[in-house]
Amino acid sequence: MNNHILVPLIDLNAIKFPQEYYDWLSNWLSKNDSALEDGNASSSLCLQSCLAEIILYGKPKRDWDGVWSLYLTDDDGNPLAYSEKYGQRLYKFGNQWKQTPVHAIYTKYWFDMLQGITSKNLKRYSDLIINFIQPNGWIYNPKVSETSIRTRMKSEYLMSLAMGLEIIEKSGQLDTYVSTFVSTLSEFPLTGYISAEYFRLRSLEILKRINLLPAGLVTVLQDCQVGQGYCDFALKNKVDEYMGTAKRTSRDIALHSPLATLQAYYISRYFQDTDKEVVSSQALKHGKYLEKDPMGIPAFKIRDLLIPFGTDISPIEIISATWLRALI
Amino acid sequence: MIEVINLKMYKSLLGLTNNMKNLGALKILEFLEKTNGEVIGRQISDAKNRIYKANYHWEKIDSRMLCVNKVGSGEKTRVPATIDLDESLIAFFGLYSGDGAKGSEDSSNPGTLRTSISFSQREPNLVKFAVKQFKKIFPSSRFTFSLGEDSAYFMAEDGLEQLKKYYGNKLPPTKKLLEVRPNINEADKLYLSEKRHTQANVEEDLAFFYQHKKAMEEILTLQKLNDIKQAGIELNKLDRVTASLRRPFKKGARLPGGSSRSDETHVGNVSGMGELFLKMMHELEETIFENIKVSPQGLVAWSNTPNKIGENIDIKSFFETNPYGCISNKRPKSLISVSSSALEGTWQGSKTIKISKNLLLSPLWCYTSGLYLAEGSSPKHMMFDMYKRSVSGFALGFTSSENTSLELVIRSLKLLFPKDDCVATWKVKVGSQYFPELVVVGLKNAVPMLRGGNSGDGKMRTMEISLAIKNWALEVITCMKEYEDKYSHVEPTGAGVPRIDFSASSSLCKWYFPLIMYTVFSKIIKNPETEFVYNYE
Repeated sequence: MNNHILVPLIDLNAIKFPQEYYDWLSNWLSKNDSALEDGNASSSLCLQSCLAEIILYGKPKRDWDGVWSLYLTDDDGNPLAYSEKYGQRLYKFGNQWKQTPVHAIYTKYWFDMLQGITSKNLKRYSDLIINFIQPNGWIYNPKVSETSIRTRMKSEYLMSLAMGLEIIEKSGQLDTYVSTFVSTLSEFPLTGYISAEYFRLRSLEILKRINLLPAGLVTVLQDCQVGQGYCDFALKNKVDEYMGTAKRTSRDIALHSPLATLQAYYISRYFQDTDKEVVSSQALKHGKYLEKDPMGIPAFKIRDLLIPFGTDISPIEIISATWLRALI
Repeated sequence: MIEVINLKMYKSLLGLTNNMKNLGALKILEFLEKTNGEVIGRQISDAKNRIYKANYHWEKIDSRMLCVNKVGSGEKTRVPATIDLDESLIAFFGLYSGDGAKGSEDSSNPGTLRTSISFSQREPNLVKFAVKQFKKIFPSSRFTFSLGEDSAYFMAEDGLEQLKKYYGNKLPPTKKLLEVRPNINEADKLYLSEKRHTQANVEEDLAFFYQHKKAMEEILTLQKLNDIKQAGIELNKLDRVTASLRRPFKKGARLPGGSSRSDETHVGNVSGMGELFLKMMHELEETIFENIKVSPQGLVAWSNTPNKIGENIDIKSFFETNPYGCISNKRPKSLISVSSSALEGTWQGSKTIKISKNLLLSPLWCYTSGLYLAEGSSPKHMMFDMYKRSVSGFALGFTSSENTSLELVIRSLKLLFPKDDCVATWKVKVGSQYFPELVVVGLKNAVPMLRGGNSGDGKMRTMEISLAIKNWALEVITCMKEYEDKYSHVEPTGAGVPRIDFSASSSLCKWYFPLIMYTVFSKIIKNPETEFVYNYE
């Protein structure tokens, strides 16, 4: 199994990556090589590096088990998001590097699944996740992020829920908690974000409650359709959470992202044919665009500033882009 | 020898001493003649890059005064042909750069500013100071002092008590919306359609607003009038005091009784002068940033290169004898020489710091003194209160989305403190409008966005996002490159464009603040302990 919940539908061993993406991944991997050798690691860096290795070499090349046990496991044996050295990349981040969020547990679980997870480890991860189930039915580690559900990001707690559910389900412990999760999701309104809706869908799939998909999902995707594909959010939905008023977004630009388009496509598989066709066409359009401009994966910009605001191309985007190009 | 005596006599005739000389001038007439009255410039703020332009007619009233009007605008404004730049006026431009209106986008002409001249500040000493400086530039200007508030303020606590008092200690019976507002307008309809977490019944809130609107406005107007009087600002016949009231929770109050007060000083009789005023500010800032004697279009001319002019302050003497160097009746516990250029100083109970022996109150220092007063992280009233009483909670920090402002403030701090002490740590604050972008940055890096703190406004717990934004910050705010290793995190916050926030050790405050207060106010306030208006009284 090399299929990660973040990038669905893709079998890394079966899909052919275009040469320019091989080159990009090879270069990216080489840039991060010394950090990993040095124990300057994060769970996300390990995940993306391992994905890149599978794409480039057909299988993992590094002793990932060793990386996890040396740098990314706490004294109690829990997976960590960051190594101590990685924590020093930010000034005065202090002991906050020592954190076990749900996504770090899921990443460790994914690594273990690659080589055949033991039932002992699976139970261990599942127990950790069960320990994070909150009274409101969401799954998160309040020691990492104590903020209330109102001020959490929707894609964050829906991602954590989907990841947590997969682990609990695999361990055979899901039945006890089904009604808790179903009750939480059944009253949870549309979010307006593709990633959040995608993770809700993945959760409902695991719970076998696809009938609880909220009405209006088609509209969410329509609103998020932008440029050659989809953006995770729609500009018109940027609303001030306190004042209820629309934000001034005249200078903000929503950008297509291969990952958002891939997740939109996944969601649309549950649409009726005509709506599904709209999303498929847009995904195909995005694939064709990437065929012409393989590196056309832009970063956001802040108003009139031309400097990229954060990441543009990443291994996750490269994988998503490859899948879109394979649609052609 | 004869030349020296003559120079002294000449200065004496002009009323100047070494401590009281003009550092330069705004050459309004020369500028208008050189540019044929065409003013064009660029305003970069809040990550927006916009231009402003205007054409002016002018005529001489006498050798010192001009009558200027913008082409297409009827109002004529008196402007001095030359305006002397002293420490106060330079600081005022810094203050305005932080707290002043730069204009709003002309919707019919995107990318172009429609200017206005007004100043957002509540602190009464700063308002009084700004009014005085405005008059140096526009002698016939008049002012409208406005207090803006969210009407939710009157729904509980202090505001409700004031409202009750207005009605004779008993509120009138609550009326329904239909009774107080039979015909709602478009703004009302929009308000009724908006959803807020904190709002229980939007229709009842709108009814409250219209039932008590007149009372609330009168209360606020009276309050502002008292503030103005207390500050010692003399109102002219044409000056006005007004209140601006918003529908409940519309302005920013999050709970009944919550305040979202804003104070504006609008400058009148200066219609059409906005572009010329912005040009003055920008050329002045440009000459300081580039350290050049004359601005590109000649509007600003310094008496010498900016970093070579200004009053020279002997730091030891300042803190031992000057009224501005005395905080709450105390002076530094020790201040000793440790090298040819540095002192080591300690305030009682505070950390020992290193400080320069001398400080030149150059245009850079003056401008950033005003800028810091407007935008610095310490509460404004503390800077005044410290002369009268012991204050706690001092902090030295500065937030901006523009490199120029940050670089100027850091450069000025370096005039006084060792480089490494000027920035202890820095972060990027990102308003909620840009959270969706942060989430996508996280997803691209295979992580969710995890917020810290009870209200989610604390340190971002997801390092990947903070690290991804660091590169952006270093490219936009290039002056932070020398402090690259002190970058701490992204901080999700309520509102605003992504911006850089740096802080220095609070042990520097008692050294830095007295000097900037002296720079800004010493020409008009001789004794800070007795002459400032104090808010806590």
